[in-house]
Amino acid sequence: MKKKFNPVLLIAVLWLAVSVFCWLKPAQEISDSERRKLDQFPKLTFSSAMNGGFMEKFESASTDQFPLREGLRKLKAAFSTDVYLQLDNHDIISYEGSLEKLNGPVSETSLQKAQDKLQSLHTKLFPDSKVYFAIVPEKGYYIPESAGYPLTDYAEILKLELPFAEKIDLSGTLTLDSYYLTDSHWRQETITETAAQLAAAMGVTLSADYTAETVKEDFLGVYAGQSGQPVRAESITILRNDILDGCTVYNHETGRTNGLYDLEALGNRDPYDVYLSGAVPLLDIENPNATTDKELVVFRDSFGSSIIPLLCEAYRHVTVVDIRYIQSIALPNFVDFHGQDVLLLYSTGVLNNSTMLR
Amino acid sequence: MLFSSIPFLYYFLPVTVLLYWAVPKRAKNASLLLCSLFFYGWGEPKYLLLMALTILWGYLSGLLLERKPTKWAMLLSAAAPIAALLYFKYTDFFLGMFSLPLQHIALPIGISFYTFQILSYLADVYRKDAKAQKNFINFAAYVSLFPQLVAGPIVRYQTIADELDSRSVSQEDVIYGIQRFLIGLGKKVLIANVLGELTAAYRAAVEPSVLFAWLYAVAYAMQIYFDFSGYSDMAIGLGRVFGFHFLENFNYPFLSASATEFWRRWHMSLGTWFRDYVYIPLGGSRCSRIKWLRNILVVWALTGFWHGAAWNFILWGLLFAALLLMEKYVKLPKGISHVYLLLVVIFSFVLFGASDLRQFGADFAALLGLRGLPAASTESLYYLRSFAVPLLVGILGSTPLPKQLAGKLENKLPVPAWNILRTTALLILLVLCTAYLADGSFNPFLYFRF
Repeated sequence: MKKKFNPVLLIAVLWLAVSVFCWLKPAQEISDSERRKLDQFPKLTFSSAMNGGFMEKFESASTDQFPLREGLRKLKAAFSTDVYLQLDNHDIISYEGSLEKLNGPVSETSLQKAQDKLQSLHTKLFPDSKVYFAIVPEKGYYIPESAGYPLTDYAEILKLELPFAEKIDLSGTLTLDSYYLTDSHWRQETITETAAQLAAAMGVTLSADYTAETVKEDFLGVYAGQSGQPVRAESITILRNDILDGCTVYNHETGRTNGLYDLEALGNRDPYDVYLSGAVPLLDIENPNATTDKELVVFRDSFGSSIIPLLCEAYRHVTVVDIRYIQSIALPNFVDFHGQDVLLLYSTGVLNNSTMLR
Repeated sequence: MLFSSIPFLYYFLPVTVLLYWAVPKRAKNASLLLCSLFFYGWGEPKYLLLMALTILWGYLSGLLLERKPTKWAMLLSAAAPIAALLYFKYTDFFLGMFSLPLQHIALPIGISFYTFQILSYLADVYRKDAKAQKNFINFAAYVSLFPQLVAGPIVRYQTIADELDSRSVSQEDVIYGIQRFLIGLGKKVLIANVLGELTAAYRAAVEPSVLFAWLYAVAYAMQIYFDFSGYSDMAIGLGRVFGFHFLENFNYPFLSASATEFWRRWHMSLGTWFRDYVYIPLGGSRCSRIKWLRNILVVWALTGFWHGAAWNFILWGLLFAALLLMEKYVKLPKGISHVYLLLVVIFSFVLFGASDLRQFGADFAALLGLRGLPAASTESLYYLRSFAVPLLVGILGSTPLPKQLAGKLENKLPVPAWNILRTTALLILLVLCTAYLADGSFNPFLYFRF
């Protein structure tokens, strides 16, 4: 008698079909949601096979290049949070719809290194300048302890002092709503009070007269992709006025001159690059309509991108330095330090991982 | 190559199965051997030669022992694989004991498993319990068989001797194999790996607490069980797809009411190996009390030592020796005995999982509240909430309840409905496991010390 076909065997057929798909599918370069380059299949050589390098790279490439990986990542995230009821996926939690990363403990070593690095900048580059120091709290600082998440002790990082600098406390001007729901950064339209406070502490005044313009409606921040969880897209808004519109920004890396807002960058993997073109080592901003003749040098991280345009209003010239992307030892070749005011503006995250400061 | 990896599931396995089905019957063992060597070479290319030499030694020794089954021939035959195991696995341990400079010799994956398989083969031929395998390809395929090569179970030659020479694969075998493999994959990826994240979080804890120590201890015992039994399920399932019937390796060990019973249900292939090839040849229990005591201690010290070249593994084995001896004289009431066993197993795996005795001391003191730690912390409460469901799934999954439920459904439903339900469930399992793997989730390999 002929045996009946058992549907379990369909699994084998499907399995084989996916396997064929794996072999034939063209490799992808980039994961947009994770904002990273995907591993590519390695070339087989005798030495790479013998030392295991080929196998290691093949394993990571076959995982990165798996067909329908994006959908599978979302399925995994949904299973982990909706079925297993886990409170995070890839260390990203969701508190009242706002995604935040569990960044681990405070590193005293890192804080000490940051302090030493900034001290050495002061000694070597701008010993005669008036120096201001402000720490940007990450949004986890505004998630209450009662929510029960093992968040970084941001308050501990905010206590960091630099003996040569006047400290400006920004924490009182911000709330959880000051940040994007799906991204680590603050929203420019919510930090005008923060900018005003910074300016006031540095002896200048901002008009606080801006026109808000929404330039992107479907922004998904870095945490949206990393978490794989379904989240609503947000908008990106830029603040403009005549003075800000008159500013020009020279990018030392590309040699291009632009405005404060790089609208072309809205098409980048990280649309937050719209503010001062994102991760750039060195910028010079000229403001012909400045309300003062003062100059400012800002040492900053990515949080600076959206607040510096607001500060520009009061300064004739602003130099923006990101020593995550340029060796500080090389700065005298590009920046003329001649007693300008200096603002050291760093987020808690960078201070707690200060090895990235070069 | 891990079974729970994209390269294995979607590159190696389909090609291997297709090749196996495509070749004529007489070439099936050769195709399995070829694929097994590729599988082993993928992770350990430099140790392929070692494995090949060990296989050749085992093959020739088997033929010799069949002709001249003398004690000296047996000892000589066993000496080479044992020497290789001692050199690669235990050199640094012994050097360390005498404070000599360590050699940092890399441990060939699976060496403990394939060495024990060869030793059992040689012993069986010597005792005339099995005939020597005349076909080198068949013997090499037995030793290197990829389904059980890196994480067991230890398949004794007698178990599959007939199937090595001739076997067939029915539709039922393939269905059973797929089902068993996917259940094992689910145990590994969806339970063991997830609980592994909790145990890793404990090791990186900022706010240690008594609660966190207990969470770790329970999660680690579950992780080890689901990882190990998951691997065994996958091995048994793969074996069946290729026509082999491997023996069971786990039988709901957490249901046990004594350490003695636990070892009848836990890693059964290792337990029976030590019983048949060490304990009984030493005299077993049919000897003087002193010798019997010696036999128990030797067997359990070796059992611990087999798991890893460190004192905590030896102590782990000896702990069970002490418990087994105690249980000969002390009988606990039924309800209490189960609680006792669970506590003993949980504590024993804390010892097993420690990197050294100092870490075990710290873990153990934390469990007993002797480290001055708070009862709970924000961190431990967070992980309790975050892993409550996976832990519950683990606890339920370690009992026969899921199997009983499936059995009831199978009996109640018409065959076509049951087949569709079963297919759907297995498909969901495969897709979910693939989703976890494609996501690059935590996927540790626990057998690097075996």
